[in-house]
Amino acid sequence: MSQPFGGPEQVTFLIGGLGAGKTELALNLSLWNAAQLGPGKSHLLDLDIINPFFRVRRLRAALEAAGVVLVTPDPRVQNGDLPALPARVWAAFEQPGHPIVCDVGGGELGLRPLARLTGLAGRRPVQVLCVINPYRPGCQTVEQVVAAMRRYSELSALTITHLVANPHLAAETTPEVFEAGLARLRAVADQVHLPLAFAMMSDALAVAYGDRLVPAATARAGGFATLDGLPVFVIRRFWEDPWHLGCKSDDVPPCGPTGA
Amino acid sequence: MADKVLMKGNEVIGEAAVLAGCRYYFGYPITPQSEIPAYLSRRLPEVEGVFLQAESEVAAINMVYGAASAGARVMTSSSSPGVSLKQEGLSYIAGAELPCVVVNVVRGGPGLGNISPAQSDYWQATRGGGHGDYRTLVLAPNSVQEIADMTIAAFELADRFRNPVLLLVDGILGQMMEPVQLPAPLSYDLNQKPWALGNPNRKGGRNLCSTIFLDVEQLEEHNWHLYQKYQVVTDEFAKGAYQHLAVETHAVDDAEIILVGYGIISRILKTVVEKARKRGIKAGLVRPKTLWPFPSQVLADLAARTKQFLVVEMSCGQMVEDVKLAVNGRKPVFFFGRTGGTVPSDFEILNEVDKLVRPD
Repeated sequence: MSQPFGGPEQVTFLIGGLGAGKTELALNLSLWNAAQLGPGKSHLLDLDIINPFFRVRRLRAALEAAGVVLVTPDPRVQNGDLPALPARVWAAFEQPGHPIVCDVGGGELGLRPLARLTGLAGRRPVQVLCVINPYRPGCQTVEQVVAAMRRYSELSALTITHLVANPHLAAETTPEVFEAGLARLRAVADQVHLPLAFAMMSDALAVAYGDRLVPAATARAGGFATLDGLPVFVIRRFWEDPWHLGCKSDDVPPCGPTGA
Repeated sequence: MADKVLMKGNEVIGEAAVLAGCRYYFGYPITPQSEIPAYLSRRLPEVEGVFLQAESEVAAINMVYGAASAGARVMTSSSSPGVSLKQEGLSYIAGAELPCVVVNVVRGGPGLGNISPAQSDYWQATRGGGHGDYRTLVLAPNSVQEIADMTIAAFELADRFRNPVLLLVDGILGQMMEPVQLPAPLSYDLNQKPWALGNPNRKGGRNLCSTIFLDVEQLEEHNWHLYQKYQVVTDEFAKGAYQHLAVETHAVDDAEIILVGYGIISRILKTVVEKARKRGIKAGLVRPKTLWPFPSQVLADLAARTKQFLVVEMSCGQMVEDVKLAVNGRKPVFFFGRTGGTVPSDFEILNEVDKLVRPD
């Protein structure tokens, strides 16, 4: 793939539960789009009105340097808990040729802002990706995931078009953990008759898979590949803990909304 | 492996409380701990427990007072400004010798401060916080797994000593996600609480849980009784009855400089120790896991062997006072802190270590 995810007109809504990996996916998808299209086109809409800690706005400088157009609340109130969306969110939908990724806040109530935007996409293609990590509480069994997806749809007023599998246990993710979680989500996809768009895989795990990823170079560079026929999106995990030995501690601050 | 779950620290506090047999939670939302009430609002009804969002923190802590009087395992949680509001009730609960667990997911202060992680409530947690001569046990985990284990331990200690136990967690630990192996569920026996209003087998007259002693001699007697109990707590910890909860040491045997930090800072300090040793600096780490009773003896013993201490906190310097009391002037104790929601990097702490070890 050497075009933005879904094409230059694509509007991508990310929904899912608290800690499912929505923001990690939003960051990586918008960076991918910017890498394909050049600066000033890939739009990332920060609709997080819930969780003050893990918001894409904390990475504003890095995202803008990479060519992403980041739409967030006024920086003067960016650490606030304000349940308000900036007007520029609406403007983003009026720009053809600019793909949009919408990230929402943690917790199911964080999905509510999406209900205001559902009519804006107009004739542009829309995908609603439901991100599931089957190692999170409340999403561990097929029944739990199916029930959760129903709640997400109701809260966001969006119809889910694809599942995204994000099976991981942070630093303890092994191929066995990845594959066991993936198997559960394949069962979910079968039951709800929805396609699995792709599985998210950290760059660290991708290295472990090595040549089994096609093309194998993706294991190091990130981006889209396949693993035994399954589409895989190799991502960088931005919220990893910098106090782990061997990490780049001056790269991304560990936590806290200021990033100071 | 497969039965591990990826959980936020705040979620684990809620789940571990349920596993410890807690069926009553009273609280009020505040960032960065709101995932605790959010989790329990869904979880407690599943086990026929009671979740109640009170009208304020003051109301919540007094509901805890009531449930604890009845002998129930009960918890409340908040973040710094909210925990300040709970101090009056906490003093009453400690004075009435009632067991409960109080969680503080610490944010920046004073006042409204901000919602970023901090460790500036050490004094409030370890010095009582409210009025009167009383103490609370204070546990300070540094990982999501340890949050699970220590939440359960907190309920056991609270019942054991008929005393409030505080879980002091910074905003990072509350918010971060790590894999966790949930412990086995516990139960408790109300018959083991003969003082409880809810004890089904109490004989004779009614039980009374109270903190009012109008007679001066009675109040003095009560205060010395509390003091004796706190001595028992301190002695049991000093004798190693709770070794797994008390303190962790790392690379201290040959250390010329010992870093001291609790909570999330201790994990950064472990990285600093490894990096310092790669530079040829013999650094070690002492991590108090229980902040009261403070593991003074471990630090006192090390003071005889090491050259200096560096205490690191996300505050302007609070625990450093307890380290100085323990070291008692035998070796210099230095301090490095960041505050206002800023988390120090391993790099800047390593610079401090460098400056102390190689002053030229």
